[in-house]
Amino acid sequence: MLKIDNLCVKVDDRDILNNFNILINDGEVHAIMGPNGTGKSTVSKVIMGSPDYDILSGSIFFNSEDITNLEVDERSRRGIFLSMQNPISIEGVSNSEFLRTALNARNDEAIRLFDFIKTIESNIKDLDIKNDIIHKSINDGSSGGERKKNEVLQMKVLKPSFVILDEVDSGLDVDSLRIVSENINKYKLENPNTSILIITHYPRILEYIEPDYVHMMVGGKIVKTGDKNLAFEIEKTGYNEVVSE
Amino acid sequence: MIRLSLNNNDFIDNLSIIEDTVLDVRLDNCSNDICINVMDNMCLEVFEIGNNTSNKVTYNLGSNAQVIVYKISRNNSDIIRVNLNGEKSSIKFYSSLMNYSNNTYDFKVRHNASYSESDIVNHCVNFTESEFRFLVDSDIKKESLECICNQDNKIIDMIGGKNYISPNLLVDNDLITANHSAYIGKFKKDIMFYLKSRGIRERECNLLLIRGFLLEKMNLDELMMEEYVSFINSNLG
Repeated sequence: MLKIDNLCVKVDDRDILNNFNILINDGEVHAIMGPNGTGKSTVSKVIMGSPDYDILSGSIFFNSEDITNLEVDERSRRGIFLSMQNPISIEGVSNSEFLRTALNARNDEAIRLFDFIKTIESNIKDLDIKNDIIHKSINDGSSGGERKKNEVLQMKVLKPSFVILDEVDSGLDVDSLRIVSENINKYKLENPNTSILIITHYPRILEYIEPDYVHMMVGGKIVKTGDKNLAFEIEKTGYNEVVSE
Repeated sequence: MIRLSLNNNDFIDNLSIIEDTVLDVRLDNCSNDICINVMDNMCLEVFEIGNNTSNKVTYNLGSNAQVIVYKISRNNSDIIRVNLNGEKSSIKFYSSLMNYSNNTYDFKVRHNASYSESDIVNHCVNFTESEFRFLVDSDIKKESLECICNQDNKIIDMIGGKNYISPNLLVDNDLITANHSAYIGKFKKDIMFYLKSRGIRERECNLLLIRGFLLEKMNLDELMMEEYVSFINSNLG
């Protein structure tokens, strides 16, 4: 599914990723944890193709295709989805227009309005989102929690095969975290070949979405890999202690 | 509420609004001088669609008169004058312009009475290398107390046009509320990244953002929205 080989990345003359490697197979759930500023979010944005980062060396393969130099929209249409840490608001562009345009971009035939409405209604209900969201501008006036739910709504509608969740748990209250996690798990159940990469500071979300592997990232690369117990070890003892072991 | 239409064939230079009115304005390749007087306590809602116009339009508002203008236009060099002559008069004026040639949009609002309010939003997308100017003055006189005055001017530059905004708040009174903002630039990079990350191609991203930017403030019913969207689509280069 996704393979990153010896990726070195810098932004504003600062090295962020330093020979970063990861292999995520079909259907696997991986989590990356690490202290602030270690490059976790950079990994997510570089996979998505953000132009803000300079790739100095290394490659990103998705389904055996080298996507290192592919445009952002092309990566998305191949099945990669990034749930952003801080989803922005876009005044004047409604969620409805946005999602229909995104769906039509990845299909040869335009989606029928009736089918679109049915899809949206069912997912809005599952995510406990207010009905009028679809007519509102993207994330305009929305709370942090509503924005994260909107990201998951987009994921469910666009049906990606590789999902990156960049701090999807931040800004969510207990109930919203449960709802968001249930929806992600349901999506995974319905699409078992979908792979998920979770980027988080806290193991709380990993109690809801169980990872196959947990990676600890320090200094722009993965320094330790384990199962979900590694996340709880990190929480208990801190990053420094785990690194020095 | 009555509904009136104004187009190229109507040689009206003076219009008095004596009851609540909706005015549909459709102007094409014209240069007129029109004065609209909105009498005390009257409401006027204007839906204006224009193409290649250089009109001078003056709005004179009496006490407690209210005017809302939703204007969309291609290649516009209008001169707009708003005189808030009566107490508690208010105007909301939303102009969305699509620019393909050298144009100057000249807007002045004068608060000549106390408790008057103006909310002026000027948006332009400049599609070419031509020159576009917003000249926007809001003038509050010393004797006009507790007025509210807002200005928001933005130009989105698509391919390196020469763009200018001259926003002025001319305030001679401490007891007022005034805000203004001015922006010239492209659609922000993080917005493009967000849209593209959902698989939308660059051209489609731009179309979404242009329509959103031009219609952002337009509170239109479904039929009117269709007409405005159709106007934008048919005038995209």
